[in-house]
Amino acid sequence: MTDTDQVTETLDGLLARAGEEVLAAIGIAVADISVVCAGAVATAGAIVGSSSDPQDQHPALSDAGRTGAEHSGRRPTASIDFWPATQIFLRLAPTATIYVDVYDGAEPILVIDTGTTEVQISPPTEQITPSDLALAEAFLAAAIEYRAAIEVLCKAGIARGECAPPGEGGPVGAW
Amino acid sequence: MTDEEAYAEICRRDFGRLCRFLCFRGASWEDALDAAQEAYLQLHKKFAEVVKPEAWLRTTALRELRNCQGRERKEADGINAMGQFAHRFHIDHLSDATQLVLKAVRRLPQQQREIMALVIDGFTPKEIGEILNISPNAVSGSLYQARLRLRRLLAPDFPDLNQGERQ
Repeated sequence: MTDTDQVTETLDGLLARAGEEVLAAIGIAVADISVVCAGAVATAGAIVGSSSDPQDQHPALSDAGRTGAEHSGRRPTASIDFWPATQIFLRLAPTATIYVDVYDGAEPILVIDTGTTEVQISPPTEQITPSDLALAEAFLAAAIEYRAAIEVLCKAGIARGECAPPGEGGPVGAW
Repeated sequence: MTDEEAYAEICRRDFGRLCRFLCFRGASWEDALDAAQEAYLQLHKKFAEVVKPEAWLRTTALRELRNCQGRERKEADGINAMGQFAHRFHIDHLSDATQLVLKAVRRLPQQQREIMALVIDGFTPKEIGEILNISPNAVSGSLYQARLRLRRLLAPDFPDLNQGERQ
Protein backbone atom coordinates (compact mmCIF):
# COMPACT_ATOMS: atom_id res chain seq x y z
CA MET A 1 0.00 0.00 0.00
CA THR A 2 1.40 3.42 -0.94
CA ASP A 3 1.53 6.34 1.46
CA THR A 4 -1.21 8.02 -0.54
CA ASP A 5 -3.43 4.95 -0.25
CA GLN A 6 -2.79 4.83 3.46
CA VAL A 7 -3.62 8.50 3.92
CA THR A 8 -6.83 8.00 1.95
CA GLU A 9 -7.73 5.02 4.09
CA THR A 10 -7.00 6.95 7.28
CA LEU A 11 -9.15 9.87 6.21
CA ASP A 12 -11.97 7.60 5.06
CA GLY A 13 -11.80 5.76 8.35
CA LEU A 14 -11.97 8.98 10.36
CA LEU A 15 -14.96 10.18 8.35
CA ALA A 16 -16.76 6.86 8.62
CA ARG A 17 -16.26 6.62 12.39
CA ALA A 18 -17.31 10.22 12.90
CA GLY A 19 -20.42 9.61 10.81
CA GLU A 20 -21.37 6.57 12.87
CA GLU A 21 -20.75 8.34 16.18
CA VAL A 22 -22.78 11.38 15.23
CA LEU A 23 -25.61 9.17 14.00
CA ALA A 24 -25.63 7.35 17.33
CA ALA A 25 -25.60 10.67 19.22
CA ILE A 26 -28.54 11.89 17.15
CA GLY A 27 -30.47 8.79 18.12
CA ILE A 28 -29.85 9.54 21.79
CA ALA A 29 -30.81 13.20 21.40
CA VAL A 30 -34.04 12.42 19.57
CA ALA A 31 -34.93 9.79 22.13
CA ASP A 32 -34.42 12.29 24.94
CA ILE A 33 -36.72 14.79 23.28
CA SER A 34 -39.35 12.12 22.82
CA VAL A 35 -39.23 11.20 26.48
CA VAL A 36 -39.64 14.77 27.65
CA CYS A 37 -42.40 15.50 25.21
CA ALA A 38 -44.14 12.33 26.22
CA GLY A 39 -43.88 13.50 29.80
CA ALA A 40 -45.50 16.75 28.89
CA VAL A 41 -48.37 14.93 27.26
CA ALA A 42 -48.84 12.78 30.31
CA THR A 43 -49.69 15.69 32.55
CA ALA A 44 -53.30 16.59 33.16
CA GLY A 45 -54.51 18.57 30.23
CA ALA A 46 -51.40 17.83 28.20
CA ILE A 47 -49.67 21.14 28.56
CA VAL A 48 -47.36 22.83 26.19
CA GLY A 49 -46.31 26.23 27.36
CA SER A 50 -45.45 29.21 25.31
CA SER A 51 -44.85 32.69 26.50
CA SER A 52 -46.85 35.63 25.27
CA ASP A 53 -43.53 37.33 24.76
CA PRO A 54 -41.93 35.98 21.56
CA GLN A 55 -38.51 36.59 23.03
CA ASP A 56 -39.35 34.34 25.92
CA GLN A 57 -40.84 31.35 24.18
CA HIS A 58 -38.04 28.93 24.75
CA PRO A 59 -37.81 29.10 28.55
CA ALA A 60 -41.58 28.83 28.83
CA LEU A 61 -41.58 25.78 26.65
CA SER A 62 -38.80 24.33 28.70
CA ASP A 63 -40.82 24.88 31.86
CA ALA A 64 -43.74 23.02 30.40
CA GLY A 65 -41.49 20.17 29.40
CA ARG A 66 -39.96 19.97 32.84
CA THR A 67 -43.33 20.13 34.54
CA GLY A 68 -44.64 17.38 32.34
CA ALA A 69 -41.58 15.28 32.90
CA GLU A 70 -41.76 15.68 36.68
CA HIS A 71 -45.47 14.87 36.80
CA SER A 72 -44.99 11.77 34.73
CA GLY A 73 -41.97 10.65 36.72
CA ARG A 74 -39.76 10.82 33.68
CA ARG A 75 -36.32 12.32 33.56
CA PRO A 76 -36.38 15.95 32.54
CA THR A 77 -33.67 17.13 30.19
CA ALA A 78 -32.77 20.42 28.62
CA SER A 79 -33.61 19.14 25.19
CA ILE A 80 -37.08 20.59 25.25
CA ASP A 81 -36.09 24.21 25.43
CA PHE A 82 -36.11 25.12 21.79
CA TRP A 83 -38.81 26.01 19.39
CA PRO A 84 -38.92 22.92 17.14
CA ALA A 85 -39.77 20.87 20.19
CA THR A 86 -43.23 22.35 19.96
CA GLN A 87 -43.61 20.81 16.57
CA ILE A 88 -42.30 17.51 17.82
CA PHE A 89 -44.75 17.65 20.66
CA LEU A 90 -47.62 18.24 18.31
CA ARG A 91 -46.46 15.33 16.25
CA LEU A 92 -46.35 13.15 19.32
CA ALA A 93 -49.95 13.85 20.09
CA PRO A 94 -51.97 13.64 16.92
CA THR A 95 -55.31 13.08 18.53
CA ALA A 96 -54.74 14.37 22.02
CA THR A 97 -56.24 17.41 23.51
CA ILE A 98 -53.38 19.82 23.62
CA TYR A 99 -53.63 22.97 25.60
CA VAL A 100 -51.26 25.61 24.44
CA ASP A 101 -50.99 28.04 27.26
CA VAL A 102 -49.84 31.56 26.73
CA TYR A 103 -48.29 32.63 29.96
CA ASP A 104 -48.04 35.97 31.61
CA GLY A 105 -45.66 35.34 34.45
CA ALA A 106 -46.71 32.10 36.11
CA GLU A 107 -50.36 32.03 35.11
CA PRO A 108 -51.69 30.84 31.78
CA ILE A 109 -53.87 33.55 30.32
CA LEU A 110 -54.95 31.88 27.15
CA VAL A 111 -55.58 28.27 26.25
CA ILE A 112 -56.24 26.60 22.95
CA ASP A 113 -57.61 23.13 22.76
CA THR A 114 -56.63 21.21 19.66
CA GLY A 115 -59.10 18.50 20.57
CA THR A 116 -62.08 20.75 20.13
CA THR A 117 -60.20 23.18 17.87
CA GLU A 118 -61.38 26.04 20.00
CA VAL A 119 -59.43 28.97 21.28
CA GLN A 120 -60.43 29.68 24.84
CA ILE A 121 -59.53 32.63 26.96
CA SER A 122 -59.09 31.32 30.42
CA PRO A 123 -59.69 33.26 32.50
CA PRO A 124 -61.18 36.12 30.53
CA THR A 125 -58.75 38.92 30.89
CA GLU A 126 -57.77 42.18 29.35
CA GLN A 127 -54.21 40.91 29.27
CA ILE A 128 -54.81 39.04 26.03
CA THR A 129 -53.18 40.89 23.16
CA PRO A 130 -53.57 40.46 19.42
CA SER A 131 -50.16 38.81 19.34
CA ASP A 132 -51.30 36.30 21.97
CA LEU A 133 -54.27 35.37 19.84
CA ALA A 134 -52.15 35.18 16.71
CA LEU A 135 -49.72 32.89 18.49
CA ALA A 136 -52.46 30.64 19.75
CA GLU A 137 -54.09 30.46 16.35
CA ALA A 138 -50.78 29.66 14.75
CA PHE A 139 -50.29 26.77 17.17
CA LEU A 140 -53.77 25.53 16.45
CA ALA A 141 -53.29 25.73 12.69
CA ALA A 142 -49.99 23.90 12.97
CA ALA A 143 -51.53 21.17 15.05
CA ILE A 144 -54.29 20.59 12.56
CA GLU A 145 -52.02 20.79 9.55
CA TYR A 146 -49.53 18.34 10.98
CA ARG A 147 -52.05 15.82 12.17
CA ALA A 148 -51.80 13.45 9.23
CA ALA A 149 -48.02 13.42 9.31
CA ILE A 150 -48.02 13.07 13.08
CA GLU A 151 -49.92 9.82 12.90
CA VAL A 152 -47.48 8.40 10.43
CA LEU A 153 -44.48 9.50 12.47
CA CYS A 154 -45.98 7.86 15.52
CA LYS A 155 -46.45 4.63 13.62
CA ALA A 156 -42.89 4.90 12.33
CA GLY A 157 -41.55 5.01 15.83
CA ILE A 158 -40.02 8.48 15.51
CA ALA A 159 -42.77 9.80 17.68
CA ARG A 160 -44.39 7.50 20.14
CA GLY A 161 -47.10 7.18 22.66
CA GLU A 162 -50.81 6.82 23.06
CA CYS A 163 -52.84 9.92 23.37
CA ALA A 164 -56.06 10.79 25.10
CA PRO A 165 -59.08 11.13 22.81
CA PRO A 166 -59.93 14.60 21.60
CA GLY A 167 -61.57 16.65 24.29
CA GLU A 168 -60.51 14.43 27.19
CA GLY A 169 -56.88 15.25 27.76
CA GLY A 170 -55.59 14.11 31.10
CA PRO A 171 -53.03 11.48 31.95
CA VAL A 172 -52.46 8.96 29.23
CA GLY A 173 -51.39 5.38 29.15
CA ALA A 174 -48.31 3.52 28.22
CA TRP A 175 -45.59 5.84 27.09
CA MET B 1 -46.40 -2.14 0.99
CA THR B 2 -48.73 0.86 1.03
CA ASP B 3 -47.46 4.41 0.59
CA GLU B 4 -48.02 5.03 4.27
CA GLU B 5 -46.01 1.97 5.25
CA ALA B 6 -43.26 2.95 2.84
CA TYR B 7 -43.20 6.48 4.28
CA ALA B 8 -43.03 5.10 7.80
CA GLU B 9 -40.16 2.84 6.82
CA ILE B 10 -38.21 5.77 5.36
CA CYS B 11 -38.87 7.78 8.53
CA ARG B 12 -37.56 4.96 10.67
CA ARG B 13 -34.52 4.31 8.52
CA ASP B 14 -33.53 7.78 7.40
CA PHE B 15 -34.59 10.47 9.89
CA GLY B 16 -31.39 10.28 11.92
CA ARG B 17 -29.26 10.11 8.80
CA LEU B 18 -30.91 13.23 7.41
CA CYS B 19 -30.22 15.06 10.68
CA ARG B 20 -26.62 13.88 10.54
CA PHE B 21 -26.22 15.10 6.98
CA LEU B 22 -27.53 18.53 7.96
CA CYS B 23 -25.26 18.71 10.98
CA PHE B 24 -22.16 17.84 8.97
CA ARG B 25 -23.33 20.37 6.42
CA GLY B 26 -23.07 22.98 9.18
CA ALA B 27 -26.55 23.40 10.61
CA SER B 28 -27.10 23.89 14.32
CA TRP B 29 -28.90 21.05 16.03
CA GLU B 30 -32.12 23.04 16.17
CA ASP B 31 -31.94 23.96 12.52
CA ALA B 32 -31.07 20.40 11.51
CA LEU B 33 -34.03 18.99 13.38
CA ASP B 34 -36.32 21.70 12.10
CA ALA B 35 -35.25 21.30 8.48
CA ALA B 36 -35.45 17.52 8.69
CA GLN B 37 -38.95 17.66 10.11
CA GLU B 38 -40.07 20.14 7.50
CA ALA B 39 -38.64 17.97 4.74
CA TYR B 40 -40.50 14.95 6.10
CA LEU B 41 -43.73 16.89 6.32
CA GLN B 42 -43.36 17.95 2.70
CA LEU B 43 -42.50 14.40 1.69
CA HIS B 44 -45.66 13.16 3.35
CA LYS B 45 -47.72 15.49 1.19
CA LYS B 46 -45.96 14.50 -2.04
CA PHE B 47 -44.94 10.94 -1.30
CA ALA B 48 -46.71 9.36 -4.26
CA GLU B 49 -44.87 11.69 -6.69
CA VAL B 50 -41.37 11.31 -5.27
CA VAL B 51 -39.21 8.71 -6.99
CA LYS B 52 -36.07 8.87 -4.81
CA PRO B 53 -37.23 9.91 -1.35
CA GLU B 54 -33.83 9.96 0.37
CA ALA B 55 -32.31 12.25 -2.26
CA TRP B 56 -35.48 14.37 -2.39
CA LEU B 57 -35.41 14.80 1.38
CA ARG B 58 -31.85 16.11 1.26
CA THR B 59 -32.58 18.55 -1.55
CA THR B 60 -35.65 19.78 0.31
CA ALA B 61 -33.92 20.01 3.68
CA LEU B 62 -31.02 21.94 2.15
CA ARG B 63 -33.48 24.37 0.58
CA GLU B 64 -35.10 24.83 3.98
CA LEU B 65 -31.75 25.75 5.47
CA ARG B 66 -30.71 28.03 2.64
CA ASN B 67 -34.01 29.88 2.41
CA CYS B 68 -34.13 30.85 6.01
CA GLN B 69 -32.31 34.12 6.53
CA GLY B 70 -30.49 34.26 9.79
CA ARG B 71 -29.72 30.58 9.87
CA GLU B 72 -26.80 31.14 7.53
CA ARG B 73 -25.57 33.85 9.86
CA LYS B 74 -25.55 31.35 12.70
CA GLU B 75 -23.33 29.08 10.65
CA ALA B 76 -20.81 31.87 10.20
CA ASP B 77 -20.18 31.78 13.90
CA GLY B 78 -18.43 28.45 13.81
CA ILE B 79 -17.41 28.29 17.44
CA ASN B 80 -20.82 29.13 18.82
CA ALA B 81 -22.50 26.82 16.35
CA MET B 82 -20.19 24.03 17.36
CA GLY B 83 -20.77 24.68 21.03
CA GLN B 84 -24.51 24.70 20.59
CA PHE B 85 -24.31 21.61 18.44
CA ALA B 86 -22.14 19.82 20.96
CA HIS B 87 -24.48 20.70 23.80
CA ARG B 88 -27.50 19.32 22.00
CA PHE B 89 -25.69 16.21 20.99
CA HIS B 90 -24.53 15.33 24.46
CA ILE B 91 -20.89 15.96 23.74
CA ASP B 92 -19.78 13.22 26.05
CA HIS B 93 -21.13 10.74 23.52
CA LEU B 94 -18.73 11.98 20.86
CA SER B 95 -15.07 11.00 20.94
CA ASP B 96 -12.37 13.64 20.61
CA ALA B 97 -11.57 12.34 17.13
CA THR B 98 -15.17 12.71 16.01
CA GLN B 99 -15.40 16.21 17.38
CA LEU B 100 -12.28 17.17 15.44
CA VAL B 101 -13.56 15.61 12.22
CA LEU B 102 -16.95 17.23 12.59
CA LYS B 103 -15.41 20.60 13.22
CA ALA B 104 -13.09 20.22 10.21
CA VAL B 105 -15.92 19.27 7.84
CA ARG B 106 -17.92 22.25 9.06
CA ARG B 107 -15.01 24.53 8.16
CA LEU B 108 -15.05 23.53 4.48
CA PRO B 109 -16.51 25.93 1.90
CA GLN B 110 -20.24 25.40 1.50
CA GLN B 111 -20.28 23.24 -1.64
CA GLN B 112 -17.40 21.07 -0.46
CA ARG B 113 -19.11 20.74 2.90
CA GLU B 114 -22.37 19.63 1.32
CA ILE B 115 -20.60 17.14 -0.90
CA MET B 116 -18.59 15.72 1.98
CA ALA B 117 -21.71 15.49 4.14
CA LEU B 118 -23.42 13.55 1.37
CA VAL B 119 -20.39 11.26 0.98
CA ILE B 120 -20.54 10.51 4.71
CA ASP B 121 -24.24 9.91 4.16
CA GLY B 122 -23.38 7.18 1.65
CA PHE B 123 -24.35 8.82 -1.63
CA THR B 124 -22.39 8.26 -4.85
CA PRO B 125 -20.96 11.19 -6.88
CA LYS B 126 -23.73 10.71 -9.46
CA GLU B 127 -26.43 10.87 -6.77
CA ILE B 128 -24.73 13.86 -5.15
CA GLY B 129 -24.75 15.65 -8.49
CA GLU B 130 -28.50 15.07 -8.76
CA ILE B 131 -29.16 16.26 -5.22
CA LEU B 132 -27.08 19.43 -5.60
CA ASN B 133 -27.93 19.94 -9.28
CA ILE B 134 -24.30 19.95 -10.39
CA SER B 135 -22.38 17.65 -12.77
CA PRO B 136 -20.66 14.49 -11.52
CA ASN B 137 -17.37 16.00 -12.69
CA ALA B 138 -17.94 19.05 -10.55
CA VAL B 139 -18.72 16.73 -7.63
CA SER B 140 -15.48 14.82 -8.15
CA GLY B 141 -13.45 18.04 -8.40
CA SER B 142 -14.95 19.52 -5.26
CA LEU B 143 -14.58 16.23 -3.44
CA TYR B 144 -10.88 16.12 -4.31
CA GLN B 145 -10.42 19.66 -3.00
CA ALA B 146 -12.44 18.87 0.12
CA ARG B 147 -10.30 15.86 0.93
CA LEU B 148 -7.10 17.86 0.49
CA ARG B 149 -8.42 20.58 2.76
CA LEU B 150 -9.59 18.08 5.36
CA ARG B 151 -6.14 16.48 5.39
CA ARG B 152 -4.56 19.85 6.07
CA LEU B 153 -7.09 20.69 8.78
CA LEU B 154 -6.80 17.33 10.50
CA ALA B 155 -3.10 16.59 10.03
CA PRO B 156 -1.98 18.36 13.23
CA ASP B 157 -4.12 15.97 15.26
CA PHE B 158 -3.76 12.87 13.08
CA PRO B 159 -0.09 12.49 12.03
CA ASP B 160 -0.90 9.57 9.69
CA LEU B 161 -2.51 12.11 7.38
CA ASN B 162 0.90 13.76 6.86
CA GLN B 163 2.47 10.78 5.12
CA GLY B 164 1.80 11.98 1.56
CA GLU B 165 3.25 15.36 2.39
CA ARG B 166 6.60 13.87 3.41
CA GLN B 167 7.26 12.28 0.01
